Amino acid sequence: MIDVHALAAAVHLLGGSWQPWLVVLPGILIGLAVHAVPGLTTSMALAICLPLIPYMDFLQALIFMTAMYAGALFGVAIPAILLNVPGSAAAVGTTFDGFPMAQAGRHNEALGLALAASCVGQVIAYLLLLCLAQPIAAFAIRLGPPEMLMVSLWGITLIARLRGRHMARGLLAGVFGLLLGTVGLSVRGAARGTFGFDLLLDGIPTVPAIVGLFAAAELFNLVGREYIVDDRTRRQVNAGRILAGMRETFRHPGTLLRGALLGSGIGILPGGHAIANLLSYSEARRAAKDPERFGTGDPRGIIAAESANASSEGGSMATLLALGIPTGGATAVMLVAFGMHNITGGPAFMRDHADIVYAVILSSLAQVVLLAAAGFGFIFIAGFVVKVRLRLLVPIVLALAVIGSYALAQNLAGPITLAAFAVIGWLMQRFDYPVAAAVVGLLLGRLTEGALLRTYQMSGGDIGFLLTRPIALAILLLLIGSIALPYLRRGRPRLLEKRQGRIV
Amino acid sequence: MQRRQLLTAAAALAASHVVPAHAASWPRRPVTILVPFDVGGSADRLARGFAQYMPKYLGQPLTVVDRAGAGGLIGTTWFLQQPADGYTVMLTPATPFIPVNILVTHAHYTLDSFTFVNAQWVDYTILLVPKDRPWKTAAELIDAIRAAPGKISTGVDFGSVGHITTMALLDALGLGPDAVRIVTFDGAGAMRTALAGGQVDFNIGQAEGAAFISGFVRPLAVFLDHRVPDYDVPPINDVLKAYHVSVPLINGSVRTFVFPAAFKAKHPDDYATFVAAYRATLDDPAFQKWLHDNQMAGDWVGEERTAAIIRANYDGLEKYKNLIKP
Repeated sequence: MIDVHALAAAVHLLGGSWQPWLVVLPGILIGLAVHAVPGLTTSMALAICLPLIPYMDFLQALIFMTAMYAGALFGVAIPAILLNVPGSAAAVGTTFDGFPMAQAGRHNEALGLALAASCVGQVIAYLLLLCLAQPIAAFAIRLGPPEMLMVSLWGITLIARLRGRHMARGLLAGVFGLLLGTVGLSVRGAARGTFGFDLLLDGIPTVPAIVGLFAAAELFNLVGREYIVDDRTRRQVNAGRILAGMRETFRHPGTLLRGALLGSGIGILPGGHAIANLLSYSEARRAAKDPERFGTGDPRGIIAAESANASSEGGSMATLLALGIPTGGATAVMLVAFGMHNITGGPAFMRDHADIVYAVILSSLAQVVLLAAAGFGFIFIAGFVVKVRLRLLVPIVLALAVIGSYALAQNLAGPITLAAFAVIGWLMQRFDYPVAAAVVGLLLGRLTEGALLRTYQMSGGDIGFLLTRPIALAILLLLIGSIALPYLRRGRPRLLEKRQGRIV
Repeated sequence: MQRRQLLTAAAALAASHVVPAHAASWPRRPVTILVPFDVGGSADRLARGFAQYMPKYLGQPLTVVDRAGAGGLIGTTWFLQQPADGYTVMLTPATPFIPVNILVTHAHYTLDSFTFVNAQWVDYTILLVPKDRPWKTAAELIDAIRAAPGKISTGVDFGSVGHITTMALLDALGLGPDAVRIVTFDGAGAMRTALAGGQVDFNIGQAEGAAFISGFVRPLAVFLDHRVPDYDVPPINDVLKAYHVSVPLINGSVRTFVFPAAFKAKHPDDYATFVAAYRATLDDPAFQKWLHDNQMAGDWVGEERTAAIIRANYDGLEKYKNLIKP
């Protein structure tokens, strides 16, 4: 599948001069730093840097943007682990085990785990892309609302798994989240749950809501404490432990590989990269022999979420590079930058510019190596957050979160949403309702509803329509299977016991 | 003594700030171009072109801010909340989105809230089918819809000209809204990706906006009263002659700079300064080449004709708004 000539041309293009590579480090650092403020997004950072693009030559611009992208893919994990603040929907899964690890004084390991998992995820995604860009892209546009519906239903089953101690409260929290997700103008133009506020027409701003639910509520809980990490001796930044965390990643090859492959698969769905980390987390937990350890600071949780998050963007890149069709905000900005250099997208893109496509992929692969180094340095500095007293840290983080939410929504809707959801989150925690279930509901509510509506519209209400969508059907069967399997496994001995007259 | 000197100096300084407004006094700081849609859309791409080429003529940098949501309603509402001092100008597909905001989504503004500078890029509407579909002409598609009502699907971007035109076409052919399966998408980008992937059977939408998927689709008709060089397909009303009906030809997206009406009323000189810089940018061969490379248009039709185009589109949309009621 690899066009050798184009590949050679790409190597020549990249290796011809060292000057284009000067922008790699700034790119990665901008990408990393942008996510230190929750609410700033990759597409925003890319858009801010667009005016620089005409002053670079095309290759340099390309390397600069992919470097930013690589940095950003990992950057979201840092506040997620250290502060329980997911900078975007893509880092929600990372908080589940990342923050408990940090609280237990294992922040060094957690950051190392996330960095290594992110790098491996990116490498796998780009290797897949290198070998299979064309078929992946051709496959990707064949996926539509029915497939998206099945994947998001799969994601919703995660709610039941995040239920916490009380089943009913978990489900209630999940349904609450799903309902929140439907607020705003529906795709059929009906305004729902807006109470006449124009600002709600676009729905509840997700990231400020998540930051409010997760971070602000959690930070309120920390008010009585001195530091994030209770144990004084563990309150340090230790390069050796970061490295140990990175090494630990490779002790769970199954989780790592499953995450990367799931991420690559789900990422090619439009909008899929926001939920890849959740699905991967859910599957890792299901596959584990000791699922109850997840959520308490299990390294496998971080690996699953981060590897899927990093690899999911590969799918988005596949449709951009092979078809010239962007499926996400970040790739849309890249297409604009291509335009500035008079390279227009389209199906001819891969045919006419195969060398550029390969150059993007190869430089992305090379950047992963640099990311491992730059990321290591970055988390070494970021890790010092654990040394800051909470009475200083909490107000600073809250202030930054509020500014970030303002930047994201670009009006007071952001900060107001954050404040309102901080109160809701605190109340939920106080009464033992799992916040994570509500967040998953909020993230998936709108996505699922849109996919369900479009599937219904496409089918004309005919259930037989599903038979014409083999991929959707396959995902549905996988979903049913993965839900039923644990019960079947558990059911067999129970049946035996029943037969022996010993009902447990 | 010293204090008095200081006071005098301060007074002089203060006075220097209240110089009467005249042409040269505006703009004294960077101007923001507000785009009420997402990064990467046609208006955003056009705005970034102006940010690159217009500072030379305006004397100040221009920065682009995207504020998407609810079909332009969120960004447009915010735009009208800014001071009408010219430091925030909007660049948007004014129709159909402003009329749809007003007529369907109940926005708190009217057409009179705005000054439309110049309809520089008017897109037109086209009928497209994915390449793997069997229909080679618009008549074949229409016959297929009539033969099996409720079986063929179409993708629409809710509230767009394409959406309204689709409903008007069905209406003209005496077919109800259930004659085709209408699949509603969040924005034209998602809809075009779905069309390219063959998720839906046909689409009526913006021709130039769809240039990037042209390799995946086959055009069947244009919604104009004449043929165009870009697509070798007949005007829709020629096709419909066989059915003894016709459809209204509503203009496609009309992309224009927009100011709050109060800006031109209060600061006519500043407004003239902007228009002069804007026209100079349009006349710049480098900018025209950039537009051409990016498959965009930069025509000068003037404020009066722009207002007339937008008013005519508004009236057309008002007539058909019931067809797209949620």
